[in-house]
Amino acid sequence: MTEPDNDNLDRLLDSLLSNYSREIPRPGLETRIRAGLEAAAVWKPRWFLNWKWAGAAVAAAIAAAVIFYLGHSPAAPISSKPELVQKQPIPEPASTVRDHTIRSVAQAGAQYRRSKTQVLQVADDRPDVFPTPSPLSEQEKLLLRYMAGTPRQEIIAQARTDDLPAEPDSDQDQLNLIRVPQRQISTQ
Amino acid sequence: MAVQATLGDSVLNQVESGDAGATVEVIDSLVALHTRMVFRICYSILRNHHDAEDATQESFLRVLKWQDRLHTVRNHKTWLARIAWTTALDWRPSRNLVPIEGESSGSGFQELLQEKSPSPEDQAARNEMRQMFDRMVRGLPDELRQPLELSTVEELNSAEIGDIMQIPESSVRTRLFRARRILKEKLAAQLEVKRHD
Repeated sequence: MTEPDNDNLDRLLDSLLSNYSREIPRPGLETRIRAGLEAAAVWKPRWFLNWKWAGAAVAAAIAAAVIFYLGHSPAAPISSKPELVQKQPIPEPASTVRDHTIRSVAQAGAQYRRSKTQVLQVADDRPDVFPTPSPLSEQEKLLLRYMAGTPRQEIIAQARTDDLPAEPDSDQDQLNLIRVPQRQISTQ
Repeated sequence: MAVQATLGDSVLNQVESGDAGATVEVIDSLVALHTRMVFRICYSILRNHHDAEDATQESFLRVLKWQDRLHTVRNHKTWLARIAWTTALDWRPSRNLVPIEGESSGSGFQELLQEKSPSPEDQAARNEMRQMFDRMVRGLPDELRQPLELSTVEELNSAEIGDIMQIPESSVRTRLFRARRILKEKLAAQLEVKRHD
């Protein structure tokens, strides 16, 4: 490449590069940008506020769910021992003679409450697991052992014979029909 | 300069003290001062008027989003230019890079104002040369193309380009030199072909 060609190329390149980004935006771009910024600035606090409220709502929902869960969780079994039952405080009756009737009524009320508490405790004395698991009896163990050691067909057959209605024993009937003459024993 | 006074020490001190009104004032000043630069940075990358304008708006929205950092910024111009550059780069993959026909080929407002009545032949030749040059630039590797594109924005010098790209100024100069050499070779080859035609 000769020197003049090189200079021309440089000039051409400079010209192309200088025009490469020599563009001007359309009129009103600044106005549009300012409008967009104002809209964003106005929108931002609302957005923040909305998120704040949304966060509060979520927190409230979680709190409600926790309360609901705790409220419906299985309560600890209440002991039926009478010494653990919290006794209702019995109000002390007034010491005046005039209040004798009131005192007796209060004592009666306290007695009623005590008895009611005991009744409620008995009613609440439920097992934690229902049905309550208990160890197998000896007979049940024998039955299980027999079931395990006996073929299935045999068990079914035995079960069927048990279910069938009892048929009249024809042989026994025939035997009954045969009248055997009673031997007369003379006592004389 | 009046516009420089807008971003003077008093305003920046107010920004540092967390004055919201001063922050708005600074952003407003950035819009007034640098909209054209931001647009040109976006245009140099996107090569499309509409996309460049959208990216410009998006750049200023990002400034608003990061307004808390304004008081830590030393050079608002390069900070804004970097925002514009990254915005345009983000914009580019999701957009069609093919320039709109007739838009980036000599029908810019500047040229319309400068040249009242270019002949149709001149117009066609200029369009062809411009499109060819766009293809050449697009064919450069990223590390050379990006500083070259920024260097075509007349508001930026090589030191500022280095700040924007976060590379030393000497690297910017080296890359620009290499990019120019490649473009010159391509141009020479293209002109040689045309001469033979």
